[in-house]
Amino acid sequence: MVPVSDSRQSTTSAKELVTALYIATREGVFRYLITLGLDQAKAQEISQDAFVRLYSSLLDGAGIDDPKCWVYRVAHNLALNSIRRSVREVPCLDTLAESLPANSSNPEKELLEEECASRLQVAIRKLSTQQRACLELRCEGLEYRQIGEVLGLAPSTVAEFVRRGIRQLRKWIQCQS
Amino acid sequence: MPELEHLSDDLLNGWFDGKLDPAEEREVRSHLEACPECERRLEHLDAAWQHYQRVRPTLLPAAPPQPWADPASLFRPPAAAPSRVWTLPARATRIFRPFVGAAIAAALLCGVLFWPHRDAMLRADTLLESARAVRPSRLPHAQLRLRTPRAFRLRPAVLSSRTTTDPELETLRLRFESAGYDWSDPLSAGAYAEWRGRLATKSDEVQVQDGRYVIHTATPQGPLHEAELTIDARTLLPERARLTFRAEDWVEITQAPDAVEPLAEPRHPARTETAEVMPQPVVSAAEREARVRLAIDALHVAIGEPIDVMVQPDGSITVVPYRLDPEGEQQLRSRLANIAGVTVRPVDRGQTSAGQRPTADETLDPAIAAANAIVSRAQLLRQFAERFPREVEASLSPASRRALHEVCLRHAHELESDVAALGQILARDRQALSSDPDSAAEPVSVASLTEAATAVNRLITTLRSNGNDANDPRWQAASSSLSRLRVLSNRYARVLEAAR
Repeated sequence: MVPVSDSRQSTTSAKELVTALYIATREGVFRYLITLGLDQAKAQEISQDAFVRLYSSLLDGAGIDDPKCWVYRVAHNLALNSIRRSVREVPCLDTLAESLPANSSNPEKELLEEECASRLQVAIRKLSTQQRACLELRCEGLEYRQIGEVLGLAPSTVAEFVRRGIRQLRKWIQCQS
Repeated sequence: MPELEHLSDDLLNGWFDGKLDPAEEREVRSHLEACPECERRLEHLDAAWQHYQRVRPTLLPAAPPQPWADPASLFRPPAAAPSRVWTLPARATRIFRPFVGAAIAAALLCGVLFWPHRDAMLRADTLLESARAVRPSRLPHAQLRLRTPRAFRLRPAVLSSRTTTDPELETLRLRFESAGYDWSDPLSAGAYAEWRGRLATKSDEVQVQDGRYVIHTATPQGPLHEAELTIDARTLLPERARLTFRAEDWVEITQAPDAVEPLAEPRHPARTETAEVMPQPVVSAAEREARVRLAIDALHVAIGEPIDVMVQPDGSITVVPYRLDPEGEQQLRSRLANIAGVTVRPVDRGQTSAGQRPTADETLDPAIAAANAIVSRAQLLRQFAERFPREVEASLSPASRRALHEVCLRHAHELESDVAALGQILARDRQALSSDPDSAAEPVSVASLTEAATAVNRLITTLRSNGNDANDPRWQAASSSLSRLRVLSNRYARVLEAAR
């Protein structure tokens, strides 16, 4: 669990802390929620909600030692709840690439990029959801300890998942070359 | 010259992250200068990582669909609680009900002058009426989960009979009836509306949260002084009700997520081979987590089967079976149905690897399969040890403590068997012949056990995947690692046996 201390935050300091974290981290949280399978609108809504909850918790007097980790953890849980309740199919990383508009004016390069993305999707699809979550959180700059707090895993397990995930991607790269 | 011990994955990952202390950094740096194998591992990790980070942005949206909300509007101090609202006497409300449309229109015209909090009251009325119109009652086979500070019960969503043989449910029924709240169909807009409609004095608050309407009503009248109903904004189906009685006694009502056979009494699970499950409701998160993990273990799924157990910040537990087939998932739900605050999250098998078999190169080779099982089992043992350290274990019920110990001992014995089996496979292929380990004096712990298992897994997977060359000098390291693991797993099992 994320360590919680009993320090209290004044309204002003809580607002400053959360605002700074919000500006620095909101897009990372948003991207991570997309990789969990949320659609963009929901991912943005939950991202913002997580920061609002952080602010409320700080005002309630629950000083939080690692606010960044706390936000990712809450966003992760809210996303899982949303996915569980959702009856609609939502795009995930596997299919998202197909929906993104092409931004290259070079058809050959575009084809190569599509093929590259397609192979990456194949490699990613072979990862378990936990492995992928570990990789994506690692991409957003979280340390193994923090990833473990977000996902409820021991840091050593996170390291193992990241290693297996990268090994899987490495096979993709070997196929590429 | 002694064989160079390779860097552990923890150290390598720490180096990769730049998170080592100065002493560890020096150790890793000097090792990398002398060990081409570890240097190559690091290069491969780094190359794969760099490639992925370069390609990843092309697969994700560059920006969200809407501009981000301004922090000044998001992070505002909470508003003061709404003051009490003057409402029409109950009798007048009943008289005017047939003319509700005209009444609402008149209220809208007059509300600015007389009812400063008109929005909350009218929205509560409108929402409840709309929800009642959508579906007046629950489907008859649906189940409700009732949770109080003392107990947790399942019961049919709609009751045809008033009485029950369960003392806890009977107590709740009496409380509901004394408060004028419909016990036969409590998780319904009708029950909430009927109770609320009889109140002469009340205050309402309506909030929108995560695509839901949350109606909160407080009153000084009667034994039920606060109630809250959460309605899905899209379907208008009630999802949760929370009733707070005098003396801060409360009950929370939600719909049970799975189709369990209707119960009028709490279930008493049969004894399992490893655990005696107590019928009393659990109270601590640690105790509930222990029972969840024991229930999962009792499924006897394949070792390494990904089933996550996540304890949420509010103490509830989410269980995610990633690759169980429908029958296995149903068995899991049945085993977890009597543990309070546990949700099994369904997996969309189209979006996960559920049901997919591991790739061919990971399953056809029995040595790799055995090595994978070894590391999974060691990690499971480590997980049990880390989730239930001494002080947490001491807080568990005697039955759960005993059951956890038996489970860990069983896995420790099976780890010994797995290691022996791997040794036999390799010996048959004249690989990793046994060597005298120099780890006899090494203190045994789950950390050292996991590290040893990870080293074996890495080496065996690498060697058996890359041509299976019996002349590869790394087989010597594999022999040494396997011997070390054999010693540690034997000693770990003996420690657990002694603690029985």
